[in-house]
Amino acid sequence: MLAMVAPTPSTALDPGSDESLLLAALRRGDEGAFERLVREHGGRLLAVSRRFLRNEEDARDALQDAFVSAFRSVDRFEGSSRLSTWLHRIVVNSCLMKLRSRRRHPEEPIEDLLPKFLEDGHAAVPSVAWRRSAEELLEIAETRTLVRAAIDRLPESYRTVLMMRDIEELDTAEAARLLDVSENAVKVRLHRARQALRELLDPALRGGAS
Amino acid sequence: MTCREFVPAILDFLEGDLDAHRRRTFLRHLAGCGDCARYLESYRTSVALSREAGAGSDGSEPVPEELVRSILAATGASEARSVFSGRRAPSHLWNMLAGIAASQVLFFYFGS
Repeated sequence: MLAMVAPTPSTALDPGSDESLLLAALRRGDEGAFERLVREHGGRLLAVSRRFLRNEEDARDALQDAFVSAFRSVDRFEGSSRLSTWLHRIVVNSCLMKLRSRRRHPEEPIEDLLPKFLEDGHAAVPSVAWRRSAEELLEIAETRTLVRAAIDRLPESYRTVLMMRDIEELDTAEAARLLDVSENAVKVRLHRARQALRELLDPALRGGAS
Repeated sequence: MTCREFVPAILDFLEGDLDAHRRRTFLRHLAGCGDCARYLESYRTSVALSREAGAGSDGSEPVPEELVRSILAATGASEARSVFSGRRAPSHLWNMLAGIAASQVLFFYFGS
């Protein structure tokens, strides 16, 4: 079943590599190897978990659940992708589980953040060019704060898909499988999320604003 | 193609999923509509910004020591301890709960 994690030849483990040796030690049940796995990958994966869950306790819980899952399923890991890729997918899934478990309120509709059109098919509100390119904007320290705040304002299901595709760099098929929805549903949600993010950033980045 | 039809096609255009006919129609509209050209540019910039800025910390910080201990305890490597509540949990209870959580993660990850 682990082979379902989309492998690519360029990322397969090389026999005799450090990672292959670590994997062999994990399969032997070497506790030191597992500790090394946690220490080497835990920081990066905790950052992933924090991005998804925005709550330190939930982020740590999700990471712990993910490592427990990994520990129990390492025998089924075939080494057709990198260990880091495999762990990343498990952490993302653990975060999705946590998000599902804490979702109690209906989320805000996204329609207000999508473009409107007139009956003749033209945009109801003309677009204004943004002042700077992405490269220029990223050199400004405030941009990251602005973008993160805008992402956090997206309705949860849209924010989740945007995180999975644009930030965690999962492909559409993988995101669809983890979310248990169709690939088309992922694409629709992603496109809406990106449009809403553009709308939220627009007032601060459009030409003419200070 | 109108602006109303152009906007929903943006994702497929960027991912190379438009067939040849739709791509030609898309590009023709783009060439003649400054409004949609500006919209597409700011859409692309939004994606680039979220990729770079949204990622935030790269996780170069080490995982907190108490969390390492908690994870190792949850896998049964050592005695369990509830580091988040500050209370010590009975190890058999902790292991049972960890097992349930792990089973759920695995079920949704591999079982779908």
